[in-house]
Amino acid sequence: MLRGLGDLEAEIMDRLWSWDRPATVREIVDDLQRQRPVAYTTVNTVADILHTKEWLRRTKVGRAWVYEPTCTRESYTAQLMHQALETSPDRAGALLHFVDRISGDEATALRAALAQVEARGEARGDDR
Amino acid sequence: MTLALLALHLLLVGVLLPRRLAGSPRLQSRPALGAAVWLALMASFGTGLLLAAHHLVAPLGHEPAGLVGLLPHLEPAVAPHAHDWWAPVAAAGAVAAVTAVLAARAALARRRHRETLDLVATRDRGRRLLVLEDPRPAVYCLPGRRARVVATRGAVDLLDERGLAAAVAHEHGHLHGRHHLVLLAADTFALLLGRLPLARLGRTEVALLLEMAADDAALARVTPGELAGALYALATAGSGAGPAGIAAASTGVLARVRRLARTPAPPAPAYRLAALAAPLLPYLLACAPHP
Repeated sequence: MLRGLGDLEAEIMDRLWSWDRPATVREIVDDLQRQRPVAYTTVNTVADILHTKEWLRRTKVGRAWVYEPTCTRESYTAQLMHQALETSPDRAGALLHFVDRISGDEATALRAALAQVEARGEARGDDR
Repeated sequence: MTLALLALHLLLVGVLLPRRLAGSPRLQSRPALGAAVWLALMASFGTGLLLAAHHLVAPLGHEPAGLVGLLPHLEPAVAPHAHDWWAPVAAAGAVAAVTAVLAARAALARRRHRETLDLVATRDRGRRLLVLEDPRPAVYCLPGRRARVVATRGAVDLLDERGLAAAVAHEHGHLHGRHHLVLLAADTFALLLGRLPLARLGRTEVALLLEMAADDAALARVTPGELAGALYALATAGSGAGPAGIAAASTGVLARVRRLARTPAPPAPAYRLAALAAPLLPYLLACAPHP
């Protein structure tokens, strides 16, 4: 299966985050090759891209670059969740939510409505 | 006279009809068509406003034309009026510019979100979704050319298999229906004419109707009970009553679940006609050919 560079970016970040220590391109390539063949130069290029995008920072140790993530996975996740949970009308349409949270009073009314839907479903014999 | 007709039209479409149509079960029985009716009313109001402005500036150029021109009148007919095109072109350009700015801002926000998402989230290929490692339950989608459907770990843990399938199918319904583009049109109108009932009510109603359209798309894969159960679970999760803004938006979920409980009202056939004819009506009022 042909994978895009985007997938490789995610795989590199995934490894560096789970190792939780700086690593060389060689180490990343060796680990990736346990699952599939991948060229050293490809990984080197993608690591360089990630550095340009400021996802990775690097320091030179001997003749090789040693890479590590600029931020933790958790801090990026927190940033995404902030955007996902904000309901500012300013950016409506950027994300479409399945449903928003409600208050306790409305939960009672919603509970009653749910019971009605379920009663109808039983009457019709929905059992998928 | 033509001006009076146009003013009546603006009052009807901008104020009276929106108040009557908001929350209408008939519009909700065919939600996509219902959203189209709201957009048609917005287009109709825009055309009417433009023509009214034109008549205020150059009343004599138009006076005998329009529907009034169809009535028998004593004076000899005035020569058919010529249109100056700059006004409609300028108005259309302004609307297009506002739309483009809104679209570009949303697209930028989405692109940034997606780039981070692709590195941080884990793929669940079987369920066609990305999972974000966060305990707060949420399901959402990023529309656009490279669309994504996202569920948090909290949502995956909270919902059972059928409930998660319902939520994901709902999001794919949004993506398939290109709902973000419909919202963009309603947002643009609301930004330009925010205080008008048609803008204020129209924007929330269009958003709600699109949620209902996505619910209907989900019903192709899950039962109403499974969908309502997922909505209830996610809406009440954590029982953390959110900020005031969230409570206002939430009347939507109650309407959606109640709708799943009732037999759909038959849609009035007039709505399809209204969606097509409403934008043309002001033009007919003001510029109908002279008999």
